[in-house]
Formats: sequence, C-alpha cells, structure tokens
Amino acid sequence: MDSIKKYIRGYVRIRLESPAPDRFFSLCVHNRIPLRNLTQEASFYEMELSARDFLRLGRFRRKTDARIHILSKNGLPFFLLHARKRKAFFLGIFLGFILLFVCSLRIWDIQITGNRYYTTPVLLDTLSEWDIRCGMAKRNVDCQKLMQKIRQAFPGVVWVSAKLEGTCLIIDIRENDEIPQPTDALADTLTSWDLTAPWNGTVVSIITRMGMPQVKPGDVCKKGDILVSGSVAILDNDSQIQRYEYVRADADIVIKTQFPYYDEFSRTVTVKSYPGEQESYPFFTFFGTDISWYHAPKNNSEIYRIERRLTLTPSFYLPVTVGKIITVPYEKKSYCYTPKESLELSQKHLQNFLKNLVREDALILSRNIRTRLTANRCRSQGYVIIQIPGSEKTPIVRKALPDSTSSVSETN
Amino acid sequence: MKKIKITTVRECLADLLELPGDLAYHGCIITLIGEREILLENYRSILEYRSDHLLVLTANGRIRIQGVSLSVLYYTELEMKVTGQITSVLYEI
Repeated sequence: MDSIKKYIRGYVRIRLESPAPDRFFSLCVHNRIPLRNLTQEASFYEMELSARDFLRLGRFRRKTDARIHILSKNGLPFFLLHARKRKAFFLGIFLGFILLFVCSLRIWDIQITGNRYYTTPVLLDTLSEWDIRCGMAKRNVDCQKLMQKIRQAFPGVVWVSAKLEGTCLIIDIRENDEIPQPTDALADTLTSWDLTAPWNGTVVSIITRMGMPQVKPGDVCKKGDILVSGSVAILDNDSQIQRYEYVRADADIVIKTQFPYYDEFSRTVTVKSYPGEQESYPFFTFFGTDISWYHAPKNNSEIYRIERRLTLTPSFYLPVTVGKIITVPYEKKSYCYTPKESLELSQKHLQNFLKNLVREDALILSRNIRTRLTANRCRSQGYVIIQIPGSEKTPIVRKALPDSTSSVSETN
Repeated sequence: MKKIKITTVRECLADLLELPGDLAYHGCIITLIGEREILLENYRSILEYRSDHLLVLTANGRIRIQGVSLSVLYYTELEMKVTGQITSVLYEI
C-alpha cells in the first residue's frame, strides 16, 4: 500500500555529496521530509524522496553546501509527463473505462445454485424464454417478479432468491425433497374404476382393500382381465342385487408372468483409434463472437472446447471468454468381437433389460435365455419368468340392474 | 546536583503514576528483528552514517549500531528502520 502511494505521488532518487550529510538529514527530517532507502556509497549518499519534497531541498542544500544529483525519476506524475504526447494511449485508457462502464450496466453471467432436480440447462432455457439471458440490461431484471415466476413454473422449488451482484445474476434455489409428480389423469377424472391385469400370467397373491375381487391366488389371467371390480353389488334381504355401488378399486396384486426377451447385435463394430497427436487452438470470445485461428479439421476428429469467463472482480463478469479448442484426430476401424466378448456384451444387454423391466419390489423367478453366435451376429432369445406386483386402472362399465318385477313374478 | 534531583523526582513520579519509560525518561525504543532489521523510535537525529555503522543521537546519549551493509529503509521524524547484517548495538552514555 505504501509503495502504491509512493508511486502515485512520484519520487526521485538522488545522490548527495556534502561535507555535513548528517546535518542535511536532520534538516530534512525536522522539516518533515521522509527519506527512504538511504544508502552510503564511498563519499556520497543515495536516497529517495517524494517529488514534491525534492523541490524544498534548495535551502538545505545551500546551508550544508551540498551537491545533489538526480539519479532517476519514478512514479505516475513522471510517467504521465513522458506520455503526454501519446494521445492514442490516453484515448485508449479513456475508451477502456467507457467500455467497462457500459459492460457494468449489463448481465454477463447467470449462476444457479442449489438445484438438484431441475438441471441448470433446463432453468437457463426457461429463463431465456422469459428474456432473461446474458447480455441483457440490468435495469430490465425484476428480481421479485423473477422469483415469483420461478416458483410458479417449478413446483418443486420451495424457496428461491434472485439477486444482482456486479454483472452477475445469482439465483439460489431450495428444492423440496419430494418433487411433486404429475398426478394420474385417470384418477382425477374418474370417480370409480376396476383393476385389470397388465400382463398375461398367474395371480400369486391378492389383498383387496376396496372393490370385489374377481380372481384368487392361482388363477390364470390375461391382459385386460378384471382382477378387482369397482362395481360392488348391494344385496337385499333376499340376496338379490338391489343396486351397484361404484368404488375406486384398490388392491395389492402380485402376478407371475413371463416376459419374452430378444436381443441381437452385430459382432462387427466400428471403433475409434487415436493415431495422431491432439492440437490445441487458443481462442477468445468477445461479446459472443469467437476470435480464433481454429479451423475445422479435414479428417475425423473429436473436438473439445474448454472455456473460462474473465472477471474483473469476483462479481464483475466481462463479456470476454478465453479458452482453447482441442482437436483429437481419430480413425474408424472395424473390429469383430471375440466369442467371449460377445457373450459378455450379451449379458450386459440382458442385465440392462432386467434393470429396466424389474422394479425394486419385483422378483425374478427364472430365466431361460439362449445365446447363439454366428460369424457376424450374436442373438439372444428366451423368456424371463417374473413375479411382479401391479395392476391397471380401467374405467368401469356400468352394469344394468336386474329387472326386479319379473323376478318377483317368476317366483310367484 | 540539581539535575540528579530533577531526574530522581521524575523517576519517582513516573514510578508512582506507572508511566511507560519512553514517555517518562524520553527513552529510545529499539526493536530488533533477528539480526537483519532494527527499528528505532524516540531519537533526535543521525550523527554519523556509514555502511558499517550508524550513530544515532537520543535524549539520553548516543546509540551506535554496527554491522555490514547497513542501509536506512526509511528515516522520518518519528521512526527509522535500518536493515543489514547487524553485529552490535552500543549505548554511549
């Protein structure tokens, strides 16, 4: 800090030759002229003092019969004096300050923190739909409105804060641990339903909470068969159906079913090899325009882009990005899997299939899958027997009431 | 005789009021940082300065600082900082 102050004020380094240097020092110090970096060389002394103080030395020089030589002039005032003819230099500084001022009126970075479920690209896309994007004027950002909009658009967001810091818009989000899932449209519109079988299979267990069970454990069911009916028949004293009550059928049903499995892939694949060396091209982006001598490679290459936005202070982002584009040339080669690799890959496909198929509460009972290798292809075929809980909601077909008068006459 | 009396009275008063020594007796404050730096306060002036020694006048006498390649980093009315290889500090009362 002291050296910055010294530089701004300007200072000179002088050489003193005097028969009474101690008197000269005393005169300086008692007249409040601080001396710096005082050294002795043979019969003379060298020291630094501020440019303003130097002009006060005349009286002391005469009193001590001293000879003073200026060795160097340093600091901002001397620099400006030397550079006074360089008008373009000062114009550049002036324009630089104007540019910084203009940049400070706009947003150059949007930071989103605290989001887990709603990803940053999704949020940024939504913001850009609302015309909140990098480069927009800061005065057009209404943080209160923005927070309100985010809360409305993203129901999982329980708390949001938006603030402008420098040229950066910082959005902090707190999400609910349980993101509200879209509700079942059928459940909303219907007042009652049946539970039907989602697959062909055998009912393993059924625990009914509401509705009339139509099957019992061990029964075979086909896809679409009603397992639990939402039409509950109300009987009168003669065990005749008086009317139907329609309810929302609810039950835990486990069905043993058989899923077919088929997977086929070519044993010959195209793989990449990287024979060449990677090349790196530095670039910088100025107001969204890339400036670089990068040219698209003629041969096949993987292209990576690493970039970093420049900041003046931690929150003053500039519309300048620097980085490098890395190109890694590659060649495509044909490769044939060995039988062992083919079987491993086939197993991997099967595992993925089961992972997608089987939920946490399902149980794989057995699988019967055969893998055959031909010269060029690998084919897996078979079925998986699985015990899986599940049922589908189906709208109820209203039943007609039995004709009570005719039944009475028949009994008579 | 008179000077001794005044000094004694001053010392008694300073002890009674628990005044710090530099205020009471105009004592020079010397802060040594290793053998590379020495900070001096409460002095009057530099009497002699060479690269191998520095003679400083204080209210109670002179202080001679001896060493190698001594240079005065800054010298103001209040304090002075000397750097170099300091070998001895002598009081010449």
